[in-house]
Amino acid sequence: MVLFVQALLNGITNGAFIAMMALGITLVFGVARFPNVAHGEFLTIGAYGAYWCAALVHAPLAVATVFGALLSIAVGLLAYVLVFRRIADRPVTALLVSIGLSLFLRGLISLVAGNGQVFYDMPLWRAWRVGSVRILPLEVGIAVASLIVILITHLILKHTRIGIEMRAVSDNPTLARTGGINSERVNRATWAIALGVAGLAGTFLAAKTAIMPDMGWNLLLPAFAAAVLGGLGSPYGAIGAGLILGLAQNVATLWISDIYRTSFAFVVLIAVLLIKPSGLAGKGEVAR
Amino acid sequence: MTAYLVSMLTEAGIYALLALSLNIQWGYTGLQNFGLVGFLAIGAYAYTLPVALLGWPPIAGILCAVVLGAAVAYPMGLASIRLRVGFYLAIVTLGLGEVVRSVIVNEQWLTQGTRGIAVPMMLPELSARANQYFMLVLVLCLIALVFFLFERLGKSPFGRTIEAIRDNEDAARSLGKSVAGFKIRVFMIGAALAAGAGALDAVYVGYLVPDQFLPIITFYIWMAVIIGGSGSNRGVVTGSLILVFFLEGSRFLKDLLPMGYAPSDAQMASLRLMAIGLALTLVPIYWPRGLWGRKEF
Repeated sequence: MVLFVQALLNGITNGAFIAMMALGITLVFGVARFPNVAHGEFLTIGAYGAYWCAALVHAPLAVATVFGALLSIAVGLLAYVLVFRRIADRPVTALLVSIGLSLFLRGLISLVAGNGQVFYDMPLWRAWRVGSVRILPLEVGIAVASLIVILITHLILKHTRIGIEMRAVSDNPTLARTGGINSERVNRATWAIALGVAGLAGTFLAAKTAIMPDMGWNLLLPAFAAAVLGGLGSPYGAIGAGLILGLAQNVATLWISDIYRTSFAFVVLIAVLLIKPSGLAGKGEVAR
Repeated sequence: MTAYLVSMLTEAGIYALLALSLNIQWGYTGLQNFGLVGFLAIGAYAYTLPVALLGWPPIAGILCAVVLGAAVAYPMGLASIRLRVGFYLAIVTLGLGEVVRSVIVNEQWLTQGTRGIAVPMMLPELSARANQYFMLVLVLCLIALVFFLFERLGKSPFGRTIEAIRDNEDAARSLGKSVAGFKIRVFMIGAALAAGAGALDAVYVGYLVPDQFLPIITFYIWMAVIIGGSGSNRGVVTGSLILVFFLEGSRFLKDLLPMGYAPSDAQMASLRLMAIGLALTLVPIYWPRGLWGRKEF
């Protein structure tokens, strides 16, 4: 029982990371109609951005985090303008190109930063004990910060003009354009939000574990599984499914080897596609 | 020098078999398989385990690899190909490579994990040298066979149907073609061929460890196919030669550069990753037909 509770607690941050990444994938899918494989690398770039900012100019952690997110947004928007905007009407090509971009960025990151792991200079906190369950203050902080990021994204989607336009474009692009929505502006805003969330997720993930060139790629499959489980194109589905998948992964590692974390997400993905391919909150259009 | 050439040609030949397998899936039918390396690994282990541990004859091992490749492809295709949006197959196959590798690493009772497993030569009574030549001849014969079969297939009603599906799925469906059925069959054919290539690769390398099956292999093959030209069999075979040229050339580059300027092995790996990535990013946009391609993206 103690192990189970501990696994659930650890699963919250894990789920939050998956949710934040799946959210970005699903938002971009909503407007661009392709699953962006390079999304993981933007998470990695955010983590390195924050690390460089903190290590080189000794910026405080909060400033470094913001810098990391901004770096993700900058690199990602550059990729959007240079590459993805040119093939906006060819989603199949866009998927292939996003894989190319993912490899290119990963190579670039490992060339610049090396293949080894680096760590933030984090203060050490003593773990809290509730009964025999250990709770790490750092993890609580990361979980709270992640939930705040998700909440802010929700508020943007629900209550700002650009958010409503984004959902309109995602629902029905032609109708949105007829309604006078500037799709280019919406595209950029959507990419920016998705990238910013990815950059923050990268920084949080790095604070919990370590920074390495593969960190975003390793989270890609669980994030895809969550995006599909939530219904591709549905932001709330992605958030919910990410949290569920993260928790389930951690609970599952009580019985299966930790190496099978990714495989677990893979099995969930296959199961969802076989049983309810439109996902938990998805629309019918993707299904048979 | 001859030994090196024979070895490189064999490697190019195995890549060519993989490229042909991707060509029937992607070039002919438009299926995006990003898990080629998974099928390669399945084939390699499906060949090696019975042959090395149970003493099966090589031909039975190859059959075992081919059958298992197709058998793994079936449920994956069933889960993702029937859906209207084509991306699900891409996502599922992308996961396969990772999953197969973690199974190989983890199930040591079966695969000997990272310790690896030795693969016997195909003709143990002959010398290593003779075996090398035999492998090259075998690979070349298989390429010729597959090439011939795929060219025939492309001109058959089956080939016309899958190309129609690639170009306009709704039109094919309106003519009463079972789109998903055709796609799943093509996916299984390609997977079987990739697994067969895996069996040959196991013999060629001679020793299996999980790290031979990194995801990057898949993208090597994609590069060969899109540079050679999707949809063209001679294009993708040429692409495989270019690929081996590129991989070997990047190895020699280090020796050519003056001391101090030569990149380290890790840097070289990063540069190679960047080059492959750049090719996959730029070629589909600016040179969509490749050398001999018959289709635009």
